[in-house]
Amino acid sequence: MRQTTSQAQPTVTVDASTAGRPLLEVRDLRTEYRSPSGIVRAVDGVSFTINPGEVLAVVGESGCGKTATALSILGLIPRHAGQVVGGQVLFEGEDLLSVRAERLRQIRGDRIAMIFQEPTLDPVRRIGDQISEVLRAHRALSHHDAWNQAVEFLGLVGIPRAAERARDYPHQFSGGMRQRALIAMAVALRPDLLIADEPTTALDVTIQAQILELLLEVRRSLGMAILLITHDLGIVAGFAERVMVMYGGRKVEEAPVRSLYRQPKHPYTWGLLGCTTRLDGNRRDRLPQITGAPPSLISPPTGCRFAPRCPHAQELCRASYPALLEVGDRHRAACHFAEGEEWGSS
Amino acid sequence: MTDIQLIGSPMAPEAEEVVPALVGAERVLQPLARRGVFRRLMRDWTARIGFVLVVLLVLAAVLAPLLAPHEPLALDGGSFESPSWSHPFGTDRLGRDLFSRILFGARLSLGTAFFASLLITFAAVFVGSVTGFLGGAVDSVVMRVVDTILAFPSLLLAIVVAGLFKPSLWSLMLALASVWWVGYARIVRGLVLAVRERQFVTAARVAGGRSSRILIRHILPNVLPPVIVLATLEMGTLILAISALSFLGLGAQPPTPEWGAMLNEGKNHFFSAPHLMLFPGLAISAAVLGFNLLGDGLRDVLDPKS
Repeated sequence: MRQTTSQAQPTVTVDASTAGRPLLEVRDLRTEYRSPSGIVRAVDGVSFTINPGEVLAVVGESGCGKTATALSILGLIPRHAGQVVGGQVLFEGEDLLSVRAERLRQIRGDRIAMIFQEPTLDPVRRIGDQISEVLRAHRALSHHDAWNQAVEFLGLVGIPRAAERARDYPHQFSGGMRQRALIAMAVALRPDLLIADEPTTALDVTIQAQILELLLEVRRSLGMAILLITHDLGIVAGFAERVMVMYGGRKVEEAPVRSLYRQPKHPYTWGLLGCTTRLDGNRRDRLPQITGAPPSLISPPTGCRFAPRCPHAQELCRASYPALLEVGDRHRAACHFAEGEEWGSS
Repeated sequence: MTDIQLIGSPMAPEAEEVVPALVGAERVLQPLARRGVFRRLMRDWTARIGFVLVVLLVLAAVLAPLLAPHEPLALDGGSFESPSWSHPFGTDRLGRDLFSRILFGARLSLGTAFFASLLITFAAVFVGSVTGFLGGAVDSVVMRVVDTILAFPSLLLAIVVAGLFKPSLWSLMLALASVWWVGYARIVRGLVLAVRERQFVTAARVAGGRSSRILIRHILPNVLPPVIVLATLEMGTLILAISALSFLGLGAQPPTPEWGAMLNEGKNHFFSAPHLMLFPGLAISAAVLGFNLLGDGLRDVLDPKS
């Protein structure tokens, strides 16, 4: 990151009016999708906050509502597929769920950017043009200036010979380079929040590490907050400050990274951690797994949604949904038996 | 490069060399000029034949005044002369040179088909992309109208519309365009629906792009290759339809040297002077064959699966 250090100063400026206020506050978000077999409650009352410059990871299996949460924040649930049915998404105090379309368009890209799992760019347009276009959608820039900034950002994300490669088409880039270009596109306007939805899942393992490092590096130089969505707890440890675990459209545990890894309070989290390969483990042991499949979000089980798969489930678990309770310092879990249980012992 | 690359350092050169091998389906949609479409098209001998036929016809149309040995309307030969050196395709009942008439006829057939095709393509792309992109009520209403028009045989409907006007090539062209666009609007709508769901469109939206811009800058360029193929294949069909309607007396009127009208004039003398129907018929066949072969070739070259 040679260029970064010289020009871009960390821009974490918290002025008086926003001091102490979270950058993004999601309150009781509910999103439903329509499906032939009924209404799918993809996000069922999720609340969380992200502070300026903070990295929050959202973890969970496929279909637990992670992506639906992200799409809801930006008002991107396709109209024909579903809708946000309740809650608030306060971005610097402004509720994104009730602002006018034009205001939302201004916020997208400029203040909140997003990158996706598949590094897809428009196949028929040059990389540089696509980045310039984003810049020009929000800033009064000449074509020439926008192009130069695009090249600059391509260099910033580690594309060699950026001036030359900006003229390339997406098929001339490898998957990793395309993801870099998309990161350049996302951060070119220096957003306050970057939503990264499984940004490394589609990439080779070696490239994954590079892309995560790049995201952290970009965050250091531009000072933005990141909402990382992933199903891989393995990449969270070195990346995020706080982790939120989702299951069945709900938040089941939330904690600073350290305390989550040291003392997972929810049996689901414990199970997820158990699934991670360890170098110091016994090589003859089978990798533990969470048996069964995530619950149907059309008719979720009454009581704790994890109960059908939970090895420790009791009568109480099947009868009532556990409240999200404080179980440690900034550590909350939604389990009837979160307090004082060591799930690993069984 | 013994180690995993660290933060933001340029990618390993190996990674770049791999790039050409990674070209996938997306390569196909890259702008035509840069991809050697023409070179790949010429590798296919049927497409080559189509291309040559189309080029010859276009040259004939453009250079007709220079190539034609006689005026197309001049009565400067005997009636029903057989092909000879001075009249390569013979003469018609009034002693007009058939070869010259066919050359000038190329202008009319190709020109009319071309403009009709242009009208159809514009209408189809406009209606198809707006309905496909917006969806909802607009889409439903417009597509029901399209369904209604599609329910009639298009040639029959074109005859009805053409019959409303004084017969001429212009009214014929408008009549054809007014019924022909619907099927294409449907196809374009389908293509737009497919592109609309691709992630780079969501990404453009996330980046705060305006809908109109997303449609023009991202979606339309991506549906263009199949539209080009359709328009080319359509040329053949339109030439045939124009000739057919002119043959029926709904389009070009005598003495206009239009191929279909010439067939009509020749049909009464078929047994005594078969060349009067043979040469216009061959011209129509050559044009239709040429555009179909070219369109097929283009489809293969622009097909994502090739």
